[in-house]
Amino acid sequence: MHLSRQKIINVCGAFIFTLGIVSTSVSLAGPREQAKRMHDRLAGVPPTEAVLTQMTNLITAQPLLAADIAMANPSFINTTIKDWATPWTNRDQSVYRDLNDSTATVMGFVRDNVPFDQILYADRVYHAPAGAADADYSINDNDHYVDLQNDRVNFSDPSVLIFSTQSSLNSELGAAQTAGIMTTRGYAEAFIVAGTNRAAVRFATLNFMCMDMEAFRDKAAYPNRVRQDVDRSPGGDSKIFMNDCLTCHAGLDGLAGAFAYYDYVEVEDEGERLIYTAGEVQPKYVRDAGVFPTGFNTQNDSWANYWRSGKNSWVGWNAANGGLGNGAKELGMELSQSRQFSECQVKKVFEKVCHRSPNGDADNTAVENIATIFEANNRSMKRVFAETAIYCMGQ
Amino acid sequence: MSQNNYLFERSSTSVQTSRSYVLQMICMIALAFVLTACGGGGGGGSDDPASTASNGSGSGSGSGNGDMGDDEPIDNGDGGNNDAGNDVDNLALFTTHLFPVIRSPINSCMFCHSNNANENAPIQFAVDNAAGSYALASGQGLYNTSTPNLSSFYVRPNNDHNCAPNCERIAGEYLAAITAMKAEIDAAGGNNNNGNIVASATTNFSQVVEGSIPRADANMITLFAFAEGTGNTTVGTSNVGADLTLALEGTEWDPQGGLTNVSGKAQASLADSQKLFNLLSGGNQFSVEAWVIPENITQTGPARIVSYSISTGRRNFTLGQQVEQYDSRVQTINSGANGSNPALRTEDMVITELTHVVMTYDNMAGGRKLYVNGQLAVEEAIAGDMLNWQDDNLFVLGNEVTNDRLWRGTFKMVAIHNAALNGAQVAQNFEAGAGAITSLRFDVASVLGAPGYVEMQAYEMDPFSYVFARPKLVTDVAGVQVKNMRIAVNNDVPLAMQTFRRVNMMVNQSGQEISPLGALIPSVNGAALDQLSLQFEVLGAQTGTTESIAGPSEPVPPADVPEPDVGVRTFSQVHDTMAALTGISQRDRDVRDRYDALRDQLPPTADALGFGGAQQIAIQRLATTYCGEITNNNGRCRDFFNDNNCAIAAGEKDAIAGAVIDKTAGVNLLNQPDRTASIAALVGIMDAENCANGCNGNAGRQVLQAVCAAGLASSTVTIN
Repeated sequence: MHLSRQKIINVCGAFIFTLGIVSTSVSLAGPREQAKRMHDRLAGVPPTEAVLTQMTNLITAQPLLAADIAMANPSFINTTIKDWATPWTNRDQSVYRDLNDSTATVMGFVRDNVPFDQILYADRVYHAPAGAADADYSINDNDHYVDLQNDRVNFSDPSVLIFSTQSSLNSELGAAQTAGIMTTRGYAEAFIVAGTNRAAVRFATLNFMCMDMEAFRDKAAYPNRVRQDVDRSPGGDSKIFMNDCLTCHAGLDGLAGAFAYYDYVEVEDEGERLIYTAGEVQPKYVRDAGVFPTGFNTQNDSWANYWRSGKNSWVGWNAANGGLGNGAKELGMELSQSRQFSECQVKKVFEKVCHRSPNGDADNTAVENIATIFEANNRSMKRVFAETAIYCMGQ
Repeated sequence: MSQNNYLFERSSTSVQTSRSYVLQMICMIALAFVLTACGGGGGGGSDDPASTASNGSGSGSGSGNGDMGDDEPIDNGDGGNNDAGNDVDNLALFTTHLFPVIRSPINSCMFCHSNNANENAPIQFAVDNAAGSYALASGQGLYNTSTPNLSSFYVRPNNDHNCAPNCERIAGEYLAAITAMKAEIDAAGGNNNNGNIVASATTNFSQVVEGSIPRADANMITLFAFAEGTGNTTVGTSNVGADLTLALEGTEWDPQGGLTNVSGKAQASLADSQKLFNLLSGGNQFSVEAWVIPENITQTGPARIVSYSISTGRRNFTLGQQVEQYDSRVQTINSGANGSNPALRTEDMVITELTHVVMTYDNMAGGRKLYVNGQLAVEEAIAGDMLNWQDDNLFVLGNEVTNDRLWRGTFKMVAIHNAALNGAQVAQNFEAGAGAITSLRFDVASVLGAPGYVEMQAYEMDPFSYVFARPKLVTDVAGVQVKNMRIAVNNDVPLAMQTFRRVNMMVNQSGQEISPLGALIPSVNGAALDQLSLQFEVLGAQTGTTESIAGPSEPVPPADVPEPDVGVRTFSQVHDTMAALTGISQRDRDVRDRYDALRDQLPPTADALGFGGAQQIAIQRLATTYCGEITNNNGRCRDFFNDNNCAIAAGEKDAIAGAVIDKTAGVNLLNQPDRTASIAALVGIMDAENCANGCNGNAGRQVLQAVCAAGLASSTVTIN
C-alpha cells in the first residue's frame, strides 16, 4: 500500500474536523488552562509539562511570576517581539520583512526592560558582537541582521544580542542627533529615503501612537508651517486644500522639520545609509518651493506640535516638553512621553496577546489601567505583556 | 529530498482534488470557532456615547509661552479662557451711549445702514437691536474709544456723508457718545476695547493696489503676464521699446490665469522679434525668466519653453525641458549656432507644479546660470559675446519655430531682461510670485489712534479662496504690538488657514514685515462682494478677543463587538510550535526549505476571522514535512509515537494515537478535545488506511506520518 498525497490530506482533514467537533469551550478554563493560554500567547509555543505545572501553581496568586516564566521562553523575544515589531519597519506594514537594526532594537529594548519611551529617542542600537555572524554590523547595509536571521540565533541571550550607542557606530551622528529606532538604518531605509521626510513622522505616530494622519485631522490646527510644496489649489480647487490637505499638513508639517537634516542616500563605494547634515536643510525640504512660495520655508530642524491645542489636545501631551523643539530626538520625546503613546503600546500588545482589538468598556478600562501601570513601572514593556496576558488568560 | 517531500511533489492533481478538502477545512474552522472561540469581546459594556464623550470645555485660548516669534506661542490646549479681563461691559456702554445715536430717526443713519431700510447698504450697522448693532459696529472698527475723533462714526458725517444739513450736529452727537464711552472705560481702569473685537476698517478687492514686493525689473525689456484670458494673441509689455505680440495656435487660456500650450505655440513676428535682437545681441548679458507649470516630466527635444530661434539647429537662445531637467542654450561666438556646445542642464528638477525658472548669461562675469525657484541650480563659467546672433530668429513660446519641439504646459509669466539677474534679484522675483502681485491695505488708524494700515499681498487663488501674504504694518506709531491677527470675510473669521493667528511681535519700524507667509482664506460671495477686515487680539494699545480654540475631541472608544476570543498561530509561531512539539530543529534542511517556501502562505496574523483554507493547506504541508523527518528516523519515530518499531501493530493503535494526542493537544486540559474521542478518531484513520490489523515498513511509516500530521496541523495546535 502507498498513501497518495491526497490521501494524507484527506486523512488529516477528517481528523481536524473531528477535533473541531469535540473541542470544548474556553469558558471552562481553570488555572491549568489559563497557564497554557498565557504561555501560548506570550511565547507563541506550547509550554513543556514542567513549565505548565510551574505556571499553573503560580497563576492564581502570582500571575506576574507566571507570565515571567512564559516570557523566559526564547520564542518570546525571537518570535513574539520580532513579529510584533517588524510591521513598524516598512511602509506596507508587512510582517514578512528581514530582521534589521530597527527590529532588533525593539527586541533588545523589551528583553532588557529599557524604558520603552526611549525607543524614540535613545542613543542605542542592538546588534550581535563582532564575529558572531558572517557580516559584522555596518551602517551601510543590512547583511549583519540577515545573517543573524538565517542563522536563527537566540536573541533572548544577552551575549548574542548586545547594544551600542548609535553615535559610536555612525560617525555622522552625535548623541544629540540619535532618536531611538527613528535614526536606525532600517527606519531610515523605509521612511527617510527620498520623499519629503514627512513619512518619518507619519509612521512614528502610526506605529507608536496608533494614530495615522486621519486620526489627527484638524482643520483648525495652526497652518503656518505648511510647506511650500503643498499645492494650495490642487486641480484648481482650493476647497480641497482647505478641507482635506490642510487638516493633516498643518500638524504634520509642524513636526516634520525635526528631520530636516536627515536623509537616506547611497554613499558611493560604501552603501546606502542614514546621513545627517548639521545645520544644512536637506534639499528635499525646499525642492518644490514654487508651488506656493509664501508657504513655510524650512530653515532649520525646529518643529512645533500644533496638535497640542484644539481637537488633539486629548492626546495627553507631556506638559514638561512644551511642544517645541529641534531635531528628531526631542520630537521622539514629545511623542513617546504622551499618554497616547502609553495606551498605544498597550493596545498593540493587547492585539498581539488577546488576538483581538480592545473594545467595550471592560477592554477600554483595562487598556487605561495597564497604560498607567506601564508609566508607573519604568515603562516596562514586559510588564505590559504580562498584565495583558493576565487580562486575556480566560476565566 | 526526503520521502515526505517526495510524496507531495509527485502529485499532479493536488489543486483540483483539494477543493473539497479546502471547503471542509473552512467549514471545520468556522465550526470550531462557533463552538470554542466566540467568547465575546471582553465584557458587555455599553457603547453609549454619552459615557465616552469628550469633556473638553470648548472655547478659550491657551496662554502660550509669550515668545515673540512666528511659530510661537504654542497653545497648551487647556481650554482655559484667557480673555484679558473684560471688566468693562462694552455692550452696555454701547447700548447706553452709541446705539441711541445710531437709531435716532433725526440722524438718518438707519435709513441707509439698516438691512430693513436698504438691503444693499454697504455697512449695515444700524440694525434694530443693540446687540446686533454692537457686533457690527465694533467688528468693523467703526468707533474708537481710545481716540474718539478718529472714529468713522464721527469722521464720516463730519465730512458731509449724505447728512446735510445736519452733518455737524450728527457728527457731534457721535463724538459725544463715543467720548462718554471712553470716559467710563477710563474711569473703570479699562484697557480700551477690552474683550471686544479689535478690527481694521473693512476693504475689498476693488481697493487693490499694485504689488507690495517690487520685482527686479530695472532691465526688463518685455513681460508677458498672460492676463488677456481670451483671444488669439498675447502681448508682452515694458517701458522699453514696442510691445511684443505673440500669435497663438494650439493654446488654451487657463481659467485660473495663464496660457496653456496644448499642441501649438505662441510666436512673434519677425518684426516684433527684432526687438530682442536689437536690445540683446550687442550686449554682454541677458536673462530669461518664466513661471511655468510643465504638464509632464517626460517631454524631450529639449521641449522649447522660451526660445529665440529659427530651427532645431539654429538659435540665439532657448530655455527648454529635457525630461526632468531644465536646459539652457545660448549662442555665443564660442558655443556654436545651436548654442548647445556645451548645453547646460540642471539635475532632475522638473515637477508638474508651478515653477520659477530663470536662465541668465553674462559674458563678462559668471557665464551661464540656471535658477529654479529662486535657487541657483547649475552654472557654467563660459564666456563669449553674442555678436554672431542672427536677426532672422523668431521669439516663440512652447515650441520650436518649426513646430517639432512641442513643450506642453502652462505659462503664468515670461519676462526677458537685458541684464543678467543676480542671485538676489532672482530670489526677489521668485518671492514676488507669478503674475502681477496686488496688495490690499487694511486701515487700522481707528485702532492705533494715528494713521496706519496693514498691507498684504492679496489675490484670488481660484474662485474659492483668496491669498493674503506677507503682511506689514505701515505707521509712524512706534512700538506697536501685533498679536493674533485674523482675516475676516464679511465679519466672520473663517476657521482654516489663518496663518497669522499666532503672530505675536513688536513692530518697531514702519513697513516692518509681520510674517513672510501666506494665508488662504475662503471666499464667500466672491471678490466683488466680500468685505474684508482684520481682527486682532492685540494691536497697539487695544486688546480684543483672543483666538477661539476648540476643545479636545477624543475619539469615541470602540464599542463592544463580538470577536473570537481565540486566534490562530501566526506563520512563525506555527513553525516554532511544530519544532517544539516534534523536537525537529528549525535548522533541519528539509524543514527550513519547506518553511521558507511556505512562509507567506501561512497565517500572517492571529486573526481567526481572516483565516482561510489556503493557510490551512500550508500548515498541513509544513506539518507533513516535520512528521516526515520523524518517521524517517527510527529514534525520533520511537520518541514521538512511543513505539519501538516505528510501525503500527494491531494492538498498539490506541497507544500510538494517544501519544500523538498527548504531544499535540497536551494533557489534562479542559478546553482541548476529549482525549478518548480523539484517539478513536485517529485509530479510525489507521483502520481506514488498511492498518486495522497493523502496518509495517513504508506503509506503516506513511500512515504514521499522516497520523502525526493530522495532530500537528489540527486546530488543537493552531488555535490558541
